[in-house]
Amino acid sequence: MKPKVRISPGQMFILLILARIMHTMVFHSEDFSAGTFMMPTLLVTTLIEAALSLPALILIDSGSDIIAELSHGSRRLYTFLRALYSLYFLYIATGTVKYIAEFMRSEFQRVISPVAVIVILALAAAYCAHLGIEALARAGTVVFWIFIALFVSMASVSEGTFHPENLTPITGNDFPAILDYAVRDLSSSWWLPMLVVLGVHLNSSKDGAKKAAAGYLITKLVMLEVLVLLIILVLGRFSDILGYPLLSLGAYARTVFVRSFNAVNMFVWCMNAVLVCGVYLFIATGGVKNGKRTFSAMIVTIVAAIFAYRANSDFNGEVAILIKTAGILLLGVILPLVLMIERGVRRCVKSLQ
Amino acid sequence: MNISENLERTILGIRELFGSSDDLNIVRFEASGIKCAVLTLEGMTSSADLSKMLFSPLMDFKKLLAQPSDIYSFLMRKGLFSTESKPVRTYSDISQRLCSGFAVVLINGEKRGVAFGAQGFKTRSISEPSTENNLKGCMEALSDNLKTSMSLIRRRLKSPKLRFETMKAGEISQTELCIVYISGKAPESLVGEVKSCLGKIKLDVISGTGCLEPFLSNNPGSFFSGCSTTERPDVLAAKINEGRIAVLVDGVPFAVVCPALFMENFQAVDDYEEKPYFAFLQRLLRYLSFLMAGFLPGIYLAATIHHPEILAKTILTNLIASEEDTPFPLMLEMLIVVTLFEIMREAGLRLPKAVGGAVSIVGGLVIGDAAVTSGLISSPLLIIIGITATCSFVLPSLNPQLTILRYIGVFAGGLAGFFGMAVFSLVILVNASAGDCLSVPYLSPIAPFTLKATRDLLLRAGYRKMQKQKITVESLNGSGGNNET
Repeated sequence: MKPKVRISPGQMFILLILARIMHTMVFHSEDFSAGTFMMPTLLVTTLIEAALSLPALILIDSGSDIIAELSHGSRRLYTFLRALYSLYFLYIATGTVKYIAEFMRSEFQRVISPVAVIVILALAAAYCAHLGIEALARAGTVVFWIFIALFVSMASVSEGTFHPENLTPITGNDFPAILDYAVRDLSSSWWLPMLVVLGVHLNSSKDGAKKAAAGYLITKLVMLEVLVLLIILVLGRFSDILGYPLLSLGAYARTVFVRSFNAVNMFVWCMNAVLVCGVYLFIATGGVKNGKRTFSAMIVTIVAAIFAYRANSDFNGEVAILIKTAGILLLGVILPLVLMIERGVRRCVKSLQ
Repeated sequence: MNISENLERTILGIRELFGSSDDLNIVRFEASGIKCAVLTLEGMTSSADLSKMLFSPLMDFKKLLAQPSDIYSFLMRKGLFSTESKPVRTYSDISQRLCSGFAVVLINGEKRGVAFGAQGFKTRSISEPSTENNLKGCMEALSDNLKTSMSLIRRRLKSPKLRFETMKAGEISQTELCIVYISGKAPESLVGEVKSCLGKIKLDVISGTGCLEPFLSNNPGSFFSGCSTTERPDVLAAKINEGRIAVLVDGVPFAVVCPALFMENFQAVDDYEEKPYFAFLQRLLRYLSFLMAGFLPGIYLAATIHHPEILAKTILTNLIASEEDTPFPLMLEMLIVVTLFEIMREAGLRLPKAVGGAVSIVGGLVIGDAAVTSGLISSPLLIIIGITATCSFVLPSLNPQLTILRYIGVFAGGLAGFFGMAVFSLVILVNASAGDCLSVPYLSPIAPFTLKATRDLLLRAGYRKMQKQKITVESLNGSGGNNET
């Protein structure tokens, strides 16, 4: 049965793009180095993502609840598939919460302890998840506009200067870096499984999922290309040693009254973090309003994030990339593809009969 | 229980029902030789009207060998005594009518009585609005008397499509409620939902509009209310013209309007009397006031305690210099001043108007000046609270929420800086987004976004444009789903 609570394609697009912004903002890797090679790579990976999303998009727009249809009425299979999605998004939520805690520790050390950040963030996200996807989607619209306002205001008061000499041509030596960045970018495409789960909440507008996905892919491409270009032009090789290049970009923005935009940036990022983690927890609870499930998901996230923080687990390491990519392929591509093939076979058998 | 044919027995029953209450008046008389009685409640009916329209004709009624039924039919059919005359058959009928200001005529030998509308209780005359002041436009406020309020609305909407549907609520108070809407504009489903919500009220007494709001908005965890109140008949008329539904309560000069939207708190009557560009500026100031009234103390604490790097050097040095001499930690200082402000505001509200001014003198001059001079409180902090307080007066309808927001903001900003403020703001935002009244999202037309309806958001559209595009609450749901009305 389709859930009663619905969101529009526009709201879906905003949730997907906010999740991506969240990941991009707190993305932190020891061996990260920005370069011109990233720009064509982004274009290629976006095209790959577009191709990978086709099975899910076709099924969602035909009104399918992919998980329910794949389980063929089997309660066990349904629970198993749901559990896979839940586990995956608990993993993503844990990574996000851990990264925010790390970001707060490294940039705003005096403000609050990382464990407190993890607990507060998870608590707030769980509360938001409990209020439902419609509330999250509506709030997402406001947060999205806040992001745009922040970006515009920072750009208008920025004192950063462009250094065109930083734009170095791409050479054959960049190939390993291109491959590495492509894998990293594709492993951040959990919007595909998100779309599969949240697709059932889309309202009945025609081609809603396709509109949301197209909006997401175009915006993601433009946004990342612009950010990469800005980082290269303004920061150049400095980005190699900066923990959070996007935060450093904000350091060039200052007014007579506000001397540094770092805290303002953090304010908006943390708002987004609560919202996005709320969406992840909502998915992890199976997309239903259930206090016990939300509470359990919250506890799991807190414990896992504290453990990951203490153990200094790398959510951008090789194992993490493998887990994330496997999850994206299985939950966002293979399962919808299986359902599509199954439908096709069934249709063929029917026509033959 | 049905009344008896025997007049004395019926009167005895009514006396028992009212527990020999002293305000129950019983006038016995004979009409054409048949014993009759007129029952009224003291002060609820007009004696002059009664004597003119009831007693005189009844005394003049002469018929040979008259039967009780003759008097009954004379009262019900032949005579024209009042615009409202209803037959009564049971004790509860009689008690209800008496409590509503009717006069009940009972006839010996007749199992029925007749109730006449002869309301003559004293009510406040129509006054100026006290909580929704304006410079131009209508200067009338709704009345305590339901009928007067109904007439005030009817005078503004002279259409047969305007509907008044009365019902009773309150197990003991039996308060008369009146649902007001425009047929064809308010969705039938919405009207039905309001009736069903009001029908579920099992309170003993309906003392005001506050008793109805929780039943109408039905959002137990919501921080904001899905219903609004107004005391202005012109505002009420404008709102029901958008497809909303209002509920009037007898004895209360305010109407509950539902569904209410967050953005409506920033609209004022004068916006529609001025040029659109001026209304735009006014609204912008109101939005700014909301943010400052709710979040400024928290932001101040977050910036000064946790993120001093955000502030320009001159501001920072001034702040440090003024804070150096104060004995309390900044957060405690802020809590003390915020609490003092709330106490003074409360005192100013409850005191008689003549004494109210003294509170501001004591608060502003004595406490404020003395606290700064003695070094207990820093002057920048007092300036912040002064701005916050002034901003909170701009939006009286949001005052309860702003007060709570201010307190939570102080804790969030003081303890966790901008991180705390971000989490707190987002939680409030999601809470507001989750709220809806009668299936209309509270944050619409912002979230869900409805482009057409945004014309009355920041910019106030001109009347030429307004007459072309008519917005109703039905069109405010951009997310589809269960908000469909």
